[in-house]
Formats: sequence, structure tokens, C-alpha cells
Amino acid sequence: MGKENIPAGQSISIAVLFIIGSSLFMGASGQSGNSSWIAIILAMLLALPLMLIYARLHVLLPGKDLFDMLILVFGAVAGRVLSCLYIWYALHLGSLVLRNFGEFGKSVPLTSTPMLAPMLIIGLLCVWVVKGGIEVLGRSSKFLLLFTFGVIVVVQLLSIPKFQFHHLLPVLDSGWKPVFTDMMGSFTFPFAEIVVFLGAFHALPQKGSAVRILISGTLIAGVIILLVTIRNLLVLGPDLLSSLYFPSYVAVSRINIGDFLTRIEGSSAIVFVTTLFVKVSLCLYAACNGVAKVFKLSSYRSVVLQMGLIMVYFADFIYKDIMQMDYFAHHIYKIYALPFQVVIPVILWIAAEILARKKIRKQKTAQN
Amino acid sequence: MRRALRLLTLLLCMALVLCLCGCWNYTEVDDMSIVAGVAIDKDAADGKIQLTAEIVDIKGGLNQNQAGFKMLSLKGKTMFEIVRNMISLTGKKLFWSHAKAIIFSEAVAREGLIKTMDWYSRDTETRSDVFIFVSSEPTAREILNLNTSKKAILSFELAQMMSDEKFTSTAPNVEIWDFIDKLETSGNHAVAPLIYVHEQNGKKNERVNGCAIFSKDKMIGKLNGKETKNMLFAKDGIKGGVLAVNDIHGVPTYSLEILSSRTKVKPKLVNGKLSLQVRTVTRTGLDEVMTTKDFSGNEGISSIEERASKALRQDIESVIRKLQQEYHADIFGYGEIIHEHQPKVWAKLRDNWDNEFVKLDISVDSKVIIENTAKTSRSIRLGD
Amino acid sequence: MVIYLLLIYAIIVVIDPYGLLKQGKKRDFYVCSALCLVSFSLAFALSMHWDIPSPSPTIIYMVKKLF
Repeated sequence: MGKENIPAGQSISIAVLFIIGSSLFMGASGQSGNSSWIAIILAMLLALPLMLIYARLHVLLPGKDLFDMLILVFGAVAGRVLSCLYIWYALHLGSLVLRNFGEFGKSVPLTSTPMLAPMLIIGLLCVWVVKGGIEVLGRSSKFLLLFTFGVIVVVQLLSIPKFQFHHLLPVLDSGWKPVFTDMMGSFTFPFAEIVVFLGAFHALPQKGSAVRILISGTLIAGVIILLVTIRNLLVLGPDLLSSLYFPSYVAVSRINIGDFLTRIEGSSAIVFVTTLFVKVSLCLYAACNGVAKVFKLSSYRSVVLQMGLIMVYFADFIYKDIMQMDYFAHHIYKIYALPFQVVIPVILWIAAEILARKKIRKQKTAQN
Repeated sequence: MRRALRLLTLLLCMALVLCLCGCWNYTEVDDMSIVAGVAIDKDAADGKIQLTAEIVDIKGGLNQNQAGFKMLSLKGKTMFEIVRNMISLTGKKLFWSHAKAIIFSEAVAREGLIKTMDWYSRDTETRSDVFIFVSSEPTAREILNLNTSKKAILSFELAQMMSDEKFTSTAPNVEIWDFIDKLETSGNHAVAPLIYVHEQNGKKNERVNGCAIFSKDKMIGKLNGKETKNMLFAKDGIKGGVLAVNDIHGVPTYSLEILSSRTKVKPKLVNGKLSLQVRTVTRTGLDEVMTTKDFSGNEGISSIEERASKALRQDIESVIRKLQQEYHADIFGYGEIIHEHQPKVWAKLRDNWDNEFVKLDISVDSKVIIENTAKTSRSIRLGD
Repeated sequence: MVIYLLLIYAIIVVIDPYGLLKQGKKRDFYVCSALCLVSFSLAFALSMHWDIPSPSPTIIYMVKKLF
């Protein structure tokens, strides 16, 4: 297989759709009530330096993806062990997202369908896309991004009559502490999950563009999530928001334009499936890439089907019920994900910097 | 091998397409009973809940231009139990997505609505944009039973009535999500419109007029139609309606059609004591003059405006006093407004809000503006 | 249900690991067949409705211990 290459526009589309992912429907963690929009803005700002660190890794070790970097910097054994950790993280994340979709399907639209059915179908679709290569994912993301933008803008405009601005008052009702807890929650889910995209870094075009891709991806996705959260807050109010599993669905079901345009929440679920499909595909791609690098396979495409199936089965038994999923996603995940998203990449970055300095010094002494 | 692979891919595609074409649990319209409205009563004898459902009957609709209907009634201990047991009466599962009205009897409302309402708001098949009513008659199902004499599906009529309600503003327009929202917010109590049977010349009609006042989820009192209109003024819920104005001698003479109305409520903190100022601005058109006396000229119009403003102010104040003194219930949402504008003061008041509301100093200021006099510029003059 | 599963997995084995063996990629074949075994055992357990231990309680326990 030749080297894969995705131009910057498609990478940004993948990044944006990945970050929007399931936040569109799950909503941010709702402990800060009507100040959750502040939490999201803070989380976005906090994620920007992290993006710069990720981009710097791309500059220091060009043309290599996360697993190559780990093996190069930490040596064959330790690098492989860390890569296995990341394979597990990508697999787990993909299963979590699939399970989000399964639970959504089970509680709201498809109540009698066994949860495995829609998860399996989407899983197989992701397998197909990843087998085609990351260029296929890039091209489809670019088109799907336009479609997603369109639907989100239309739904926002249609819900404007239902906005009740007094829901935003009083500002900072519960004080700063819940806002900080929510900021940490929003930071790990979904902004810093882009670490999975590092597993596909070998496909990015030239040296400097990683900064542009990651920063613009974070900003665009952050603005979209902010708009959606504010819409949910304005339509539903903070009390109701905290009791619902899927706040966006209920907020959209309130839209009623002249008694003609009502009950459109089913169509807005299409956006959910689209963003979720991109997120799961990228997680699958990163996981398969990791397996290929760790076991020195000729190509990641050999293991895609099996990894995809494992991801789907995993999604089925990973949680007992929706309450456990809700608890995990809103309370446990923000601590569990930190090592993968922050700690290891930062150590990797420091080590890579040291290695780069050593190389430059060696080159200087060799020249002298 | 290549051909076999191609054949396999084709089979796989076909299998996948089969999964895409329909739902797992596809049901024909004929296999569902479409519920138009429900009435919930409580049997005083054995304490069981009685649910009466008005079901759209599609068989009757072929040669008439209106769909027929069926009434089903069942008793049980919990709502969900009754709903599922109804399958034994109809043979079909009930389909809730088109339901438009829920009527609770007064007995059920006085006992507490959460008992009967939680299932409706939690279940995924029911929708929360149904209109909720409280029946002023002894039972709720006799309202739904009016459909036999009127030969029309009552729940859809009620829904139509509620959507036109803004033209009279004598009853609040409450949907279930709105009701539950107000139940959950501290600093606000819920209201629901009242229905009763209006009999005339032996013909019975349903009438929506007045509202029921709730404290937490139990009904504690009623307001009649006029008081409800004043209550809606105090709550910024008026979108249309009629104001009747007396002339100088106290005889009802003029009718103003409300074009739009805004109510602003401002909490003011003076020397640590909280007071509320309610300001209403109502834009109206003079639509009826019941005398031949002339009103044209600014003096006539402004004196009508003044009298209307004064009367409105007194009416709104009297309704607020009534709620304060008799019922101790803040149905206007003033607690919420205090919460939004003065959160620190609210933090002290919220635990005892019902009693604090009684002591609250509320001043009302109304302004009625007559923007036009409809088609004619003067009263009908009598020619000799 | 289990019988459908066996048939489908027979087809998958023919396409996936066996296909790799035919293409001569030895390492890929080993890894793929190992993963195929894992996914088959998971699918079998799911279709027999056995209770598979989930890692989430373990993670929750570890995170709670830290705090």
C-alpha cells in the first residue's frame, strides 16, 4: 500500500466531526446548570495549548503517526507497551460511542429493536470505510460536514421562537466550583479526544499544517457545541436539562412552526448518526493502525474486520444499562482519560524535544 | 475465487439492505388504536384510578368527512397497568402520538397530580405537548362523553379551542411539559384550565373557562374567567382578548380588543425590604361603543384609556391579593423573577417562599393605549 | 441464533484469515486469526446470553480509589 495522504480541508472535516461526535446528543455534563456555556468556553481555551503540543509533535517527527513516535522515542519494548495502551483507549472510546448510539436508539426511536442491531450495522459500515483507507474517510467527512452544518443551522433557526432568555439568568448561579468541574469534563469529552487523530498523523500533508488543522478543528467544533448547548439551555432551562439523558432530542421536539413543522427530532437524529459514524471510524482506524505497528503487519487492513467486530461486541457488554453509562461518561471518564490525553503525550513531547536537540547537537559537532 | 467473492459481496449487500428498509417492529395502522384524549378519574369507593380513552375509529371515516370515535374505560391501580390492560378491550396496542388532551377530575387534582402524570411524561411513546385540563364536573369522563351528543372527536375540538384561546384569554394554555416545568421550579406554582359542561336548551357543550390553582402538585382552588384574565395579565400571558370598560357612571359601555400586552416585573430592594413593581402596557383597539354619545376627540379617548387603566390596575391587584391572602400560592412566577434578578435575596427567601409571598409588597401600574377605533371613527349617531 | 452465528463466522474465516494466508502474509494471518478467535468467542458468549465481565466496574473502582 502506498503512502496515504489527506489534504488539509479533509483533515479539518474529520477533526470537526470527530470532536462534535456524541456531544451533540449527550450534552455536556450538566452540573453547572445555566453556566454550562461558560464551562465549554473555558474547556475550549484549555484545549488549545494541548493542540499546540500535538502539532509540535508532528513537526518534530514528521510523517510518523502516534505509534511510530512512541516506538521511536521510547524504544521497541516500552514503545510497544504504550502503543498497546493507546490501542485499548481507541477501542474503548469507539465502543463507548457505539454504546451511546445504541442506548439512544433503545430509549427513544427504536425501543423494541435489540441494541446490537443498529450498533452492528454502523460498525460494519465503519469497517468498510476503514478498509477503504483514510482517504475514503477524508472525502466522506468533507461532504458530511457540509450536510451536518446545514442541518444544525436549520434546526437552530427553527428553534429560535422557543428561546426563553430568562433561563440564562442568574449567571453563575451555582458558583465557580461546578463550572470548573464541568470544564474538566468538557475538556476530556470531547475536546482532548483528538489524541486519537494522532494515530492517523502519517497521512497529513506537509510539515506545518498540523497546527492549522487541529486549532481550526477545535475552534469550529467548539463553537458548534457551544451553540447547541446554549440552544438546549434556552429552550429547556437548567432544571430540566439536568434530568434528561438526551437533552438535544427533547429540545428539538419542542420546535413548532405554525403547527406545520413539528416533530422533526427524528430527522435531527441523522446528524447524530453522521458525526458518530466519523468518530467510530477514526477510532477504529487508529486502533487497527496500532495493531499493525505493534505486530509489524504489512498493512492495517488485514485486521480491520476483526477489530470492528470486537468493538461492536465490546459496546454491547461494556455497560449494564444506561445509568451506568451516564455515570461513567459524566463522572469517571474525565479522570480515566487524562493519562491518555495529557500525561503520555506531554511526556512524549518532552522526550521528542530532547531527542531533537541531541540530533541537532550531533549534526553541529559532525559539521565541526 | 473472484466470482465467488463478488457473489458473496452481493449477498451481503442484499442482506444489509433488508435491514435498512423498515423497522424491526413494524406495525400497520390497522393494528393500532389511535388515542385522541384521555380522562382520568378516581373511584372514591375503592381508590382505583379510572382511565377513559377516546379512540379514533378509522372504520367510520370512509363515507363521512370526520373520523368516528370509540370510548374505552378501565380501572386499575397504576396508570401503566391500565394502559396495557386496555389491549384486552381493544385487541390493539394504544398509539399515543396523536393524543391532544388530558382531563383530570377535580378529585384527582386535589390529591396530587404527580401520581397520575409521571407515567405520561416518562414514557417514550407519549408526547409532552398535550393540553392538560381539570374538570369542574364531578368526573372527567363525562366531559369526554359529550362526544356522543356532538358526534365529533372531543379531544381534537378541545385542542382547537386551546389554540384559539389566545383570542379570549379567559383560561391559560397549559401543556404537560409546561406544567411539569412549573412544578419543578421553586418560586412558581402551576395552573391548569378548567372545563365544565355548559347546558343550554337541552344541548350540552363543553366550556373552557377559568383555571385551577395548584400548590406543589395539589389543587387548592379555582379562579373564574375574569380573575383568570387578570391573572394572565399579571403573568405576561395575554396575547389577545377583550377588556370591557365602564363609562363615567359605571355602566358597561365600551369594549377594547387587546392587540398586544407586555408585563414587566421588577424586583426592587429598598432598605433591605423587597418589593415588586408590576407594569403592564396594553395596546388595544376600540371595538365596541354601546351608546350614541360621542367619544371622538382626544378627550373622550384619553378618558376611556384612563378609566380602563384604573379598572385594570384594580382588577390585577385584587387577583394578586386574593392569591396572596387566600391561597398563599405564587402562580405568577414572581419567585423565579426574584431568583433571576436578585439571587442573593432569593437564597434567603426560597425555603419559605409561600409565606414570604404573602408578605410581599406588590404594586401594580397599568397603562392602556387605544391605538385605533376599528372601522368607524365615531359612534352611531341617531338621525331623526 | 447460535447456528446463524456459526455459519456467518465460517464465511468470515474463509474470507479473512484464509484470504490472508492465500496472499502469503504470514504474520497478518497469525494476528488476524488470533483476533478472529477473540471476536468469535465474544460473539458466541453474547449469543448464548452468558454474562461477560465488563471492564467498566474495574475502572470505576480504580478511579474511585484514587479519590
